[in-house]
Amino acid sequence: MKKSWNEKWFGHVTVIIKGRLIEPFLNQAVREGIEIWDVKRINEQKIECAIMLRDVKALKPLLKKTECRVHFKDRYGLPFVLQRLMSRSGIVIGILLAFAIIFILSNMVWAININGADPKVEQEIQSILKKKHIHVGSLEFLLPSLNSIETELSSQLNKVTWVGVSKHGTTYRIDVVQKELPKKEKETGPRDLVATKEGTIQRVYVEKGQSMVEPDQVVQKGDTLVSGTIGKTEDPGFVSAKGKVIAETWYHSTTEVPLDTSYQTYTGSTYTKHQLTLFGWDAPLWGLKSKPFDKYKKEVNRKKLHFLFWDLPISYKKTEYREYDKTSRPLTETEALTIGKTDAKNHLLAGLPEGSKVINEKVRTKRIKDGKLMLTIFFTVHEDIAEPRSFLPKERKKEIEKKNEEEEESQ
Amino acid sequence: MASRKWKNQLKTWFANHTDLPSDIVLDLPRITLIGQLHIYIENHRGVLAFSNDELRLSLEVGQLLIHGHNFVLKTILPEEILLEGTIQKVEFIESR
Repeated sequence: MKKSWNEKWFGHVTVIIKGRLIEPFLNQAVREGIEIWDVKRINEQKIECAIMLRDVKALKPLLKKTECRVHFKDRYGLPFVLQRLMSRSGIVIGILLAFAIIFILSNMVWAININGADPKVEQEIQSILKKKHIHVGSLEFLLPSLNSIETELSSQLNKVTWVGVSKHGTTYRIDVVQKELPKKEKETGPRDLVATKEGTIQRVYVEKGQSMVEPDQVVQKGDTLVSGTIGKTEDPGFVSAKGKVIAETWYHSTTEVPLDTSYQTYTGSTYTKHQLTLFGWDAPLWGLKSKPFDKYKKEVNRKKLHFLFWDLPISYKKTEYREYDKTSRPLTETEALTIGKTDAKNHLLAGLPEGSKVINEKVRTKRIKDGKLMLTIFFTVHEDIAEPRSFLPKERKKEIEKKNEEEEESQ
Repeated sequence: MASRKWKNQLKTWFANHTDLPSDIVLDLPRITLIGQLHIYIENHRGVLAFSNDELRLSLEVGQLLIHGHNFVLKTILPEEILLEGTIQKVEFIESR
């Protein structure tokens, strides 16, 4: 019923109309578009009827014309309810306060669960979170996004291989996978150490096995460096060879360095915008500039607001603008050269085993082409070239026996 | 007067010879009664008198008089009226 809905929303009153010319009054009121209903006769002079609250004002001139008087009897509908509530402001304030409190509590962090971390790491995580103002009782929509918490944690914790941050309602859950202590080295079978690449032997450190090479000896790829065969030739023993063989190796490396490079540097000035998003529409709270800087990178952090277990269609949006400057700087040839050298060196070392050292570097060729400096650099590197290669003791034994026989025959 | 009579005759002929409802063509009241409970009158020309046991309506031609008990005017619109109560008698009063 459309009508009854209208009555409730806009409010209506029942009035008693007193006078002689009541019927003309009714006719005129109806003609003027005033809604009248539930008309009852009380006595010769009086009727009772209901009218919409918004039509009350229009009654006055009609009453005057028809010499009737009006007496308000009852009031219904929302406007009157509000009026009554206003007179009892305590209730209103109480209700609003209750909603506000529920709202704040719904958006609060109630618990932070850390799973998979030992007490020490847990302590560490808690202190990092505390620095970021993430603790029980902080307001969720003011906190950084889950992703940034995750990166922050994983960058600061070095004992941890993986950190996952998720949110379940008002609870943050932090899952941690800790690095396990290095396992005991597996018992490996008999093996030799062979060269991974060509080089000149510098130093040999043998833990187990028998060294087959000496310093300054040139080895080819695949040559045995440390043998897993020990003992006498008649009765050989087999071990898992272990050790380090540092050899001098050589690399050619070509690099290009553009002489005209442009840099992006943050100027350090930032601008933060706070917005409330209501049904997809952004209402600014703080920060009105639409484009604070000419050149900027922006980072948007959006947080939904909650009420009890509902997601409100309102979210809090924080946009951070960081200004950057683009500067182009032409490099001189010598500057480009040093950059090219370090670049090439770092690139080379990234592909070599740990502990490798560049002993010498020599620029072989350099020329400028298309605004780029083309370099060919020759590197001398000291690195560990040993690589395990396992063998079967039985076959090895046979080989040795064969060798011995051959030797005997030749003698 | 003569022209009006002629016009009425034309209207009556029109209502009789087309399928259009006569209340529209002839400006007559359309009255719907639901038992004794409700009476719904369209095309009236205003309330002349209203009390607990009587409602007198003006029509295009003549008046309509309704008798009964406990009358309540549920709705009044410029051309429609809904009366609730116990209806006993509906009477047309011809204008002389």
